[in-house]
Amino acid sequence: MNGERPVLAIAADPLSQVIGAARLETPLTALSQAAALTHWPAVEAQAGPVTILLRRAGQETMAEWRDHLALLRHLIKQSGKSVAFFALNAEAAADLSAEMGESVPPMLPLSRAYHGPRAFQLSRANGPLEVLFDPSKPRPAQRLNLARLRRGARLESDGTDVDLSDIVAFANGTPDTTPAHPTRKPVIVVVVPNGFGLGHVTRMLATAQHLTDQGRARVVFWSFSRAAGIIARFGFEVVARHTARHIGADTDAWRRWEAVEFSALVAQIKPDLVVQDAAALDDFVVDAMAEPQAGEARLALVRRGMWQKHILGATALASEDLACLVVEPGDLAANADRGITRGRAEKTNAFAHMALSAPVTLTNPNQMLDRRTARKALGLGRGRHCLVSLGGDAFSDMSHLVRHLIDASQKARVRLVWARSPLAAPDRDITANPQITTRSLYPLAPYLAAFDGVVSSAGYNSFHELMQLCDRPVLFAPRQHGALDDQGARAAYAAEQGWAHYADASMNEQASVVGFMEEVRSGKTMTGRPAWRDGAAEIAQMLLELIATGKAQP
Amino acid sequence: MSETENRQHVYTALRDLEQDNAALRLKLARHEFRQMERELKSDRPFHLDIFTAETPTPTTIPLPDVDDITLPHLPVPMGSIHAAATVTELPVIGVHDDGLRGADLAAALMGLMNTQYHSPFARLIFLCSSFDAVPFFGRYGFAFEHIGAADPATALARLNRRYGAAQIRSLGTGAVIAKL
Repeated sequence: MNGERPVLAIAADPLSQVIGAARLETPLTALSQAAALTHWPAVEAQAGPVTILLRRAGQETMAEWRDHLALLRHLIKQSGKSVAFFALNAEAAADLSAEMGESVPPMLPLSRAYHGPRAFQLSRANGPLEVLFDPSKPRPAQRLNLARLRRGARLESDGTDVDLSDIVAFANGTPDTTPAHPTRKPVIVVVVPNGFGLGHVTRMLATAQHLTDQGRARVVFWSFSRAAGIIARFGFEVVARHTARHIGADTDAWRRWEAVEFSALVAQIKPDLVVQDAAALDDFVVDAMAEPQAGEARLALVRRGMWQKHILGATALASEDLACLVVEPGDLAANADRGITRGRAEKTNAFAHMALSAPVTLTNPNQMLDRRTARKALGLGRGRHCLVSLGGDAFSDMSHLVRHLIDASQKARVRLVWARSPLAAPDRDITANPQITTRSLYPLAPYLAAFDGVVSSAGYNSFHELMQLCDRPVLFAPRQHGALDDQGARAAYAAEQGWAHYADASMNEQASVVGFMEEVRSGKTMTGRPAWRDGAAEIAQMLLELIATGKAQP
Repeated sequence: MSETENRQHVYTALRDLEQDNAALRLKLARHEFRQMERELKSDRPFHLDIFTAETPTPTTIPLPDVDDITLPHLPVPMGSIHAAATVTELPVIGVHDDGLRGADLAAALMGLMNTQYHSPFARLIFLCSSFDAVPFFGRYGFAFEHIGAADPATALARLNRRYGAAQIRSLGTGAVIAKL
């Protein structure tokens, strides 16, 4: 890449997105005769030699094309400026040499980036460049970035103009040229939103650990989560950001800042891949990745399933036309998924490669502490202990359940240990209760052997840790919130499978809690839960393959 | 009831509602300040219990100053200890944490927050040398920037472009570190 060498281009010239992969020899390059004319003062002011790429006729008329070339010749002659001309390929070079009356050599071609059978047709029939994934539904190509597109398919021109054919041929490249970065280890930027809990951060920490394992990649987090300190403690570089809501900013103004500063980061560290764990790709990410400085970096989305029915709209599905890879972290309760993304991972998409991994957990079985060590670390005494992990506002949101838990645990002589989010302020309501011990740890899973039972919400990470790494009774108390996943469906599915108990306000919560506490008191061990699988390693492998080949294999 | 009387009743009801809202906002701000006080005076302020292997402290990535004069200034919130979300007439000041950690950082913040709660004098952007206090600033709705071990004076150009900040001061002493 040559991001350090400035180029002059006219707005929306698709060549500006792909030229970063070319070797430009002069300090300043104008990407077309039109760009050289538009920015002539800059061309003239440049101290050293200037390269001008001469292009064959595109969307202008032949007369306009000839006029532009004639005017350029005149300005160069008048100024005495030292200019080197190049054309995009040999055929264009021949045409332009004839028109200019001097030799116009072809540029060195790009390395071929895609070797598979997939092909996308490009068209300027309607004005701006469009991709015809489906000829009846042309999509703007600018947001997909031509440099990224050329890594995922062979490009074809619809023949509407000869300049587009030249651009497409140049973007496709030729075999047997040297790759841009033969030795550098992959650089990956991970974007994590500020979710309700630590779900996004936890999934991506698990994946990032595999990505950086044995120095395979460098991972940098762009984090809207307050968990930036946790990310740093895991050894990752992190840029802490604010959401528009946090600072009370107008969304458009905030998005412009995010796009510009994210773009600056991308220009600075030149990632091979940007991956976001979210419902959909943020606009600022897509905007920044359409900038020429994004180069050939790939874009991926990690999107868990189990969205609530009727929530999410079509936004999440639109990301499938912008990302090179959409991975769904597997969900043990996928059969109960009623959300809009259900089954999407198995579908084929014109642009994104859709994939499904095994469930993701940050903790693996080798990291689980034995009962004695875990109890000692938590400062727990003898007797039965039940972990309660219901999330931040449980005391107010789930007050009935909390009362039942306290009553039932006292009767069963089980001590409650309340898990507090590491990002939450100390909660006076909980800490003031002598029946309850509080602990704030991240992640909690390694300590699970300390407990004789667990009461938990049914968020993605808790659910999969408990169902794969815990052999004690579990009572799921799903949290119902429009912005959360369908915890009710997940919890009900686990109950149907005999993996766990399930309680919510629609049933006899008290009876469920009493029965559960008796089970905890008895010291019961559960069998039949699913075996642990390493979804994070699978996702990491998909991302590394995406970088290496432009197309991930599940 | 005439139309004029009717309108008068509506205006009165709206004024009452506005006053009730204002009173509630003040109560909420007081509650947040008390909560903040308790947190800053706790045994282990900003403490995080993280279960992971020891890893080297990652480097800080400085963002380059953005050369785009068309970008608007972003608002700087007053934090949840203030009844109004933003107060545009107050100056924007960057406050560097002086590299303080734990109880020392909590004590220095307590002094500043006490002043800011009782007689707000500026809109504050905290420049953090570590991530320790990021969840704290997040909870109480303050703007912050993580600058690691970088010279805080070098952050002023970006803070000015992004927020309109004109100076950076020390959290511990209040001394001016950089000024436009």
